[in-house]
Amino acid sequence: MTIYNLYIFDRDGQMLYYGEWTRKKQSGMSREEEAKLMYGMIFSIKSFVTKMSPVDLREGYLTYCTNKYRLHLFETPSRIKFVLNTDVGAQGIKELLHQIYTQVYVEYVSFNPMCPLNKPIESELFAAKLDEVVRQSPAYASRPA
Amino acid sequence: MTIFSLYILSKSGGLIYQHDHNLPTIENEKTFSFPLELKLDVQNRNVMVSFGQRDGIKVGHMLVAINGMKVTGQQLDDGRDALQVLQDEANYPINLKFARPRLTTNEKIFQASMFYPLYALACQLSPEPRSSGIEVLEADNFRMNCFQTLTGVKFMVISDPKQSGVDALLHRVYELYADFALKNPFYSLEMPIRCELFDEHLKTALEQAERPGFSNV
Amino acid sequence: MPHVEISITCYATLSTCEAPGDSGAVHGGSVYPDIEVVRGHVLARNYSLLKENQRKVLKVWCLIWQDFQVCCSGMSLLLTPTTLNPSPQGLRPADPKKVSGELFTLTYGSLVAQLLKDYENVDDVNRQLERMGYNIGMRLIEDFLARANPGRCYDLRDTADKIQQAFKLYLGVSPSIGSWNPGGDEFSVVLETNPLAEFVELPDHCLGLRYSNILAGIIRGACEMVQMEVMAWFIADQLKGDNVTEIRIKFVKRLEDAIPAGED
Repeated sequence: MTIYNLYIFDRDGQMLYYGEWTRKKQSGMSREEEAKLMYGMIFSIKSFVTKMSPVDLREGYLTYCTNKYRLHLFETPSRIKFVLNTDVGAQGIKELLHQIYTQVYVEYVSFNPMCPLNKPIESELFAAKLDEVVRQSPAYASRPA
Repeated sequence: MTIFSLYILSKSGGLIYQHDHNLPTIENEKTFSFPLELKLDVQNRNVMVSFGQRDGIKVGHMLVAINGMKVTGQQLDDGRDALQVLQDEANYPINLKFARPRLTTNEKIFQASMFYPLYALACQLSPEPRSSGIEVLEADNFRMNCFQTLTGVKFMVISDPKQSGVDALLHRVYELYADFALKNPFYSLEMPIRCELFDEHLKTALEQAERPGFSNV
Repeated sequence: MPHVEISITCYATLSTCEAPGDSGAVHGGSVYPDIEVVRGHVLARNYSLLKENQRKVLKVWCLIWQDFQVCCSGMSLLLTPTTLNPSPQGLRPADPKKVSGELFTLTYGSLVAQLLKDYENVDDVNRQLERMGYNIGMRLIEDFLARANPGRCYDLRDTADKIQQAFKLYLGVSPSIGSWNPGGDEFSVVLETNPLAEFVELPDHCLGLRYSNILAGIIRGACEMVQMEVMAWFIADQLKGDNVTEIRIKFVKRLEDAIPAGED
């Protein structure tokens, strides 16, 4: 079980935060370019899913997996997007992302008057709390380096 | 258990086969009084619900009939404009039928070609080295399994998230593709598959897969 | 300093509300308490409004404070530091995260009063309050979504229910929803009591003041964050002699998701 990395995007597609735990491979481009590519991909996947869905879709959570990792996308009704990469078998990630939203984002960004809503998050408290929540989650287990 | 549809993409990303197996029809009819409580707008030349949903009519559904008369695009069969009819109080009470839109053939081709770059991006953005592309894509009410052969042909099955044995089904479809398309001397590679034998066998395979206990076979 | 008088009132209230006041129970729930009677008991009153949600009010308060600083920069502000400490709660065990609802009401009052002094024009004050509310709404919505987990609205009736729920959650009052227009895109939120205006009498020279305009702004800001453009405005106010306080809300349009630059 492992958690690789997390991207948070605002509703305009700007990356608000990037966090990394046990990522093994970098994409070989700058973080900004990677963020744009990631946002582009999830935007397209969302549109693809909406079109391909045979039945009415409830929004909010979708996931895909490859043979090496699983990507989880959680989107709040206010269109903040949390993208978390884990190993293929990770369980309970929807709950974890909800927890990150309610206990970390809302508490340390929404309610921090010094933290602008549409700029990358610089709060150290936010970063520390996020790290704590991720490391405590059952899906996180550090593997030998 | 339900399998909704099947797509086959050629090596270069073109859609070469598509079959809707068990696609539900979602339609709702209701009589409205003036003024209309639904917000409608025009998207892709169709009249769609943009806000306000009730009695099964959902945001994203398309207006398909007014008082039993078919609406194509924005136009009624007798040539009147649907939005104008809806604006006129004299036409109320009015019976409207909405349906969840289905993909047209062109849209299917377009969506299939969209999947190709997504597949490649998933691989590029992987946090682990040597990842494949997307194998399973899951939303809360459907699942798409994708199987890519070593030669680059992609088979995609869209099913209920609880459908089991989809991997086995994909392999079965691959065999059928080899048997009834590739071995057919009149089939040329990368071209749409139009072989009756393939159709028949595929249908049987999909029906079998929907029966419980298929995964044990 | 501009706030000395108000803060003294505040401290006086806080220091005396240790005494459990039965009188508070009589007036706290009444529909439209006679302002004079309330005043008579105010110092002895153990204010129960908002007791469940005072922690959030505190946070909202910080947000107002931020706006306050922006619009009245250079002014020293005396009220907010007191909210960081547990406020006396009578016989209830003190929760360090809760703040007296009365303090909230008084602070809001001082904010409006100060704005009036600074702008000298009620229209500007109305605008300013609305703008502050808008900024609060944009942040508060996240807390609402996180805690109530309501899901997305596809119908204005859902939205009305959610707004009603939010009033209960954040202000401890249950407004009624009604007066739908035939098109179903406009409705009213009717408050029997307005916690913000509890101790307020509008002076004659500012009858045009929409005292609680911050609420209209909050509703607009919150809805905008969930892709709905709405208009919200007061059509009746108890401060102006109406029977109830009524906020009218009109749906304007759905906002679309931003398309990433250079992608489609």
